[in-house]
Amino acid sequence: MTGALEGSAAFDPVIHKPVRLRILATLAALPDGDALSVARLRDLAGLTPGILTANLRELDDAGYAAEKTKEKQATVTLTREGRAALDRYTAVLRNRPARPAGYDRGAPAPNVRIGDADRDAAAAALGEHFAQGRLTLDELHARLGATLTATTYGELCQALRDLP
Amino acid sequence: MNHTSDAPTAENGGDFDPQQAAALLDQTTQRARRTFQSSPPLLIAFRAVVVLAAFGGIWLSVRGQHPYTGPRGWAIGIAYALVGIVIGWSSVAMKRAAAGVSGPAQRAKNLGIAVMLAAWVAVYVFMAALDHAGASHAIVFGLYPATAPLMIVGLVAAANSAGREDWMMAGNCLAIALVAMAAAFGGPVGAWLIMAIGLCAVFLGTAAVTVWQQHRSVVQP
Repeated sequence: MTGALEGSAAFDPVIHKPVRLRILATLAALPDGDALSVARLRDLAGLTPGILTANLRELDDAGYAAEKTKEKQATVTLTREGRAALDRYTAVLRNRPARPAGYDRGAPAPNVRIGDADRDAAAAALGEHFAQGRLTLDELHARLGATLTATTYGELCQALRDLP
Repeated sequence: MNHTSDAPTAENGGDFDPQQAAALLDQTTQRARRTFQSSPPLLIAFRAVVVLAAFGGIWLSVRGQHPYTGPRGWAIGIAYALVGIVIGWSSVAMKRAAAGVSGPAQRAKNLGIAVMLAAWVAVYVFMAALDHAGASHAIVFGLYPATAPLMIVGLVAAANSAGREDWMMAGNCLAIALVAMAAAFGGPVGAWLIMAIGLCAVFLGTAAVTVWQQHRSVVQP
């Protein structure tokens, strides 16, 4: 279970950066296999040539984007791996609890009862914290146990205490 | 290739708040969808107005004709002028959306447009053949031009769009063809009115779906 959480809940560090996220989201709006000229991508993403080139290189190295030059025009394509990675990243974002810890403005009262979706989202968030080294394996197991048996927001927040 | 050592820091996005990430992902995706959309909602809504005015105008010019002689010159003139404006606007929008884009889907789209144009020409050649064979005015200048072009071209375009897995466009073209099929039962006069109302409804529906598609969140299901 720990492995599954680790794999599914952690943000992909290649994508989890504003510039690269903007690049991948723009390319993902094109049909599979279509390429976009680097010049147009630069305009759409509002990036300087230097920043775009550096980030495209990172994405290319990770196998998420492929850069080609044809007839003196540089183009970039989102690879299948890149699309799959963006889908996984989006799924992690989707499964995060809106505000797991603390009783923020607008958060439900501690005695409000929770559902399976809340427990699953909190468990996913714990997995992400474990993957980022904020929790030890023992702490993860203890907190997961508390999360999966929690019945109210108060208990869920207790399981997610002192985490950012 | 090894990107797992890219530890989360402020520089590489480690402090990038997930809620900000979700908002940025949605904002960028929606903007990109709008940019690459070859038929923006406003253009689709304008098409709705054009079909209503063009087909409706022709219906006004033929209603009450006994025997049926065909649309009046003014109605045909208005229809061609409006269609010309739509074609011009569509060309500009398509060119703008496709700027800097290349690849298999783009090539398939261009091929699809060429096939559609060929089908369009074939439909009108057949109309000339019907006239040459002595078919009645109700057929050659009524039922056939009101329904056949959009029935045939709509089906061709639907098949082409389905091949590209562009289900939205395929559904739109299929709906156009279905309206034309239904209109064929309306007779030489009624067909123009059914086409005017039916196509207007299809285009307005398509515009609404396009707006929804462009604004739907990728993060919030």
